[in-house]
Amino acid sequence: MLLETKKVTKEFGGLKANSEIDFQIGEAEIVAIIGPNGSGKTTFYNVITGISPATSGTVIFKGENITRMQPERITKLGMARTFQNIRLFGNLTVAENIIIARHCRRKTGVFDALVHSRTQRAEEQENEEAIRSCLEYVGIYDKRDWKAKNLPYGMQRRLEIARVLATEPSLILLDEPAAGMNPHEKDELMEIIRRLKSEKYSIILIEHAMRMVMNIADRVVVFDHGQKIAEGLPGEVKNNPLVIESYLGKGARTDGNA
Amino acid sequence: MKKLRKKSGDWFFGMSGLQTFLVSAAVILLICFIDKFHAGKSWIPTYGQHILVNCLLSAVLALGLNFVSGYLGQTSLGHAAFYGLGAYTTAIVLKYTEISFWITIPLGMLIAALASIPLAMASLRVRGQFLIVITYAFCEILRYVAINTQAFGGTGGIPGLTAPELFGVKLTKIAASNKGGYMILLFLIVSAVAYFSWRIEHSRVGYAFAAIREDEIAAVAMGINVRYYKVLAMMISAVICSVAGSIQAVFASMVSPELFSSTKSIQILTMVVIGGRMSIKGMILGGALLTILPEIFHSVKDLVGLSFDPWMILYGFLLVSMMRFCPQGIWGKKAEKEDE
Amino acid sequence: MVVFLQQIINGLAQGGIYSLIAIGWTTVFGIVGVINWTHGEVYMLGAYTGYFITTYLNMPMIPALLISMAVGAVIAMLVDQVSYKPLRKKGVLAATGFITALGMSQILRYTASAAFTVNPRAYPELTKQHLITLFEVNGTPVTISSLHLWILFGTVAIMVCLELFMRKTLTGKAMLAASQDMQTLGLMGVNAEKLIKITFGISGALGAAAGFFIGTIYAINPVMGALAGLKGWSCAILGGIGSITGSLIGGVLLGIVENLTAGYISTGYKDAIGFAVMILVLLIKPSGLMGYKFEEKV
Repeated sequence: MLLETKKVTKEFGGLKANSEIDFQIGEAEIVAIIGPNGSGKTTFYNVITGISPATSGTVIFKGENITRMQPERITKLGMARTFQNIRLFGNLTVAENIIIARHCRRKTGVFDALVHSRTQRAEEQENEEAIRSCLEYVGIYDKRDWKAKNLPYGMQRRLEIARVLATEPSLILLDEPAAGMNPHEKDELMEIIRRLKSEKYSIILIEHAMRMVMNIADRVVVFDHGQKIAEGLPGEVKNNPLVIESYLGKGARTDGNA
Repeated sequence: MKKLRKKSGDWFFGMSGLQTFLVSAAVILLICFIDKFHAGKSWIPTYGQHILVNCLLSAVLALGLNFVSGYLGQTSLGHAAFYGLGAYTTAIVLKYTEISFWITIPLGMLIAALASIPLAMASLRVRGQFLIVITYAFCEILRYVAINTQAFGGTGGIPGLTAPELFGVKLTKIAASNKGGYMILLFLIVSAVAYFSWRIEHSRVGYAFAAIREDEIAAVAMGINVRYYKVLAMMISAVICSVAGSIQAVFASMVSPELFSSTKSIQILTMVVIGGRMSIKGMILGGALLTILPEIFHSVKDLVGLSFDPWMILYGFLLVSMMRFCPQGIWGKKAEKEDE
Repeated sequence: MVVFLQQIINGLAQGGIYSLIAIGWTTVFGIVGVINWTHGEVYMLGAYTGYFITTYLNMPMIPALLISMAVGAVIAMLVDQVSYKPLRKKGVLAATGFITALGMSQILRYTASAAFTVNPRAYPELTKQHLITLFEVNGTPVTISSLHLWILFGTVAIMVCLELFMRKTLTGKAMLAASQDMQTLGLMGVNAEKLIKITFGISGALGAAAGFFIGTIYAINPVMGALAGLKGWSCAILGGIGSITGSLIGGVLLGIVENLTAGYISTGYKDAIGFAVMILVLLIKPSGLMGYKFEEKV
């Protein structure tokens, strides 16, 4: 297992946002987490990335216990995420966003900067290559000198993915990457995610767009009220009455395209 | 590399950084030594030279605060604390021991760096508006300590500090006037700090600062150790300000608790804001403006015979209208982050 | 023990005054989100208003207090209209508000210095001062000055009025709600601008009242606002930003701690102690005594 959580619970003032969640994801696997708003999906991301550590339970990533590890070290270990409400460095350029994401793979400090050392120059060279490869991967290399906040919405989402790639992750967490995209953009995004999978990245995907989830996920996990209520292949989960009830409301029918 | 050079070009009137340095060095040397060639005649009034030294001191302070208030985007209203610490360290060491002035500079830097740690810790726990108050209060506490400690001279401070010697020559005797030595020394420091700032800005460290300034949570998610870089920025900033303090102590040949005054802190902050956060030349301009303008209005006051100082009122108007019409400062980049 | 009790009682009146300033800070901060640095200046101008109307118009205490409060309210509202409102309209208040406040405070402080000169002035005697014995411990009386008692009474009366306003009137309730969430309130059709105006009015009135009370004890000068303003802010933080009860407790605590410091440690550090306490509180429990969380949603 690449990532495994055991009985992870997160409480906010007595309120359980996540309760005893067991979750696994293996190499080169895409697992989708679905569930209604407020069911604790983003909280789960915050817990495993270390931004707000679990109240109890353990998170194991690459065989290491990362439950209480500082978030920046977890990133360095190879887990990176995007945000539901895009968090780019808006006033910086697209290229600079990538340079910042390279931070955790670089070593230079104040002294290197001061004397413009050999390591520093090598890093500048490597940054240039990373900018090219990451931005070309998501198809926005021609926008490299734009300010991130001036990019159109769909491209901002893609820049977030490029930025995640720049941290050299083995596990990528996507938080509603298709939110607000038109069908054409969603198709392109799906293409990117498939390509990531083919290159042996593992991906956890929080998504409301059911067509996308059903098409690309290997496994689907369903959250409701902070609990994991179902897990299985997309086809199984789709027809699980418990899921239909919680996700679409009582009496609703699923047509696979919510 | 190509990009770096492009950025360093057009630094000032289309000159590169190096050219700007050489030209301004020539100007400073000219000011220092012109009177040597015309014995008995004074081209540059001593008063003018005095102001120039103060401009350079201000530039060092502004460049120092720029690390916290510019690159890291956090407002600090207590940087006079580090300025004062540097000055007091120098004064106390010179008064009670035989140690050379040049050693007191790194000593002051060390003490300022240590003092910056609690402030940096504070900036980890609270943000924006609360940090402003903490830094302000921190500086006030130091002022009370300076006032109430007999060994530090109390309200009167420590007077009678002698000018430092460099290779057996007094700093006051190097150039034509007694300000010349300080002018050259400070000019070198300003240049070094400006170069340092410029190097840092486009390095891994500088980008980490930028990420924290833009979005702290995203920065953490990108693997940046926010705690480390906040402490680092505060320390660099403190160390730079303390150097200005050490030199101020020997230049004025005294220190007093007023070095820790909130007016000084506010002045340093406004130098950064008016010059334009993150702009190196903006810092130098901001420092110069806020040193020269008060002097002009002081002389206006004396000339017209006003019973009050018009500068402090105008200063307020300057800040208010600046924020209204040009919030990014004179040489700052447009579009600041929308919340503190 | 007697000395200790006496110090606490001496600190009460001062603490009440701090509370008034602190509440003025915290209400404005809660609603506008800006540290209103001009608050100390409103306090100073309130003190001067009181000075002029008691000295030159021979007005008795209570009407003079009320007029000072009215003037303070008007000044605070004007400060908001002139300096903050245009920034709010442009949506840049959060980034530029503090420096603007700093500038406005400079303008007010030094215009006052120019107009009133920097010489300290003292109020005429408004009531006959005498010491009232509260109780005796082992035969030693613990006393309070009648003036202090008067100030305490006035402070409490103002606080009760404020509390009633907050709890009973619609505007007051809207203000409380606004300090939680301004945006939602705007969506619910509450006139935000009007609310802000009233908030500044109240804040100004409280600041001016504090200035007036201080004037009855100590001499006043145009730069008195700087230190008092910061102390008020310390109390607000101590009690927990956004909490009126917190500000009240914070103010009284600071008043007492200052007096104890003066009594037992050194008068020189009396003014510094508040700041030290504030920094400690912010470092240990940033939400203050009465809690106020500023956590960011991810």
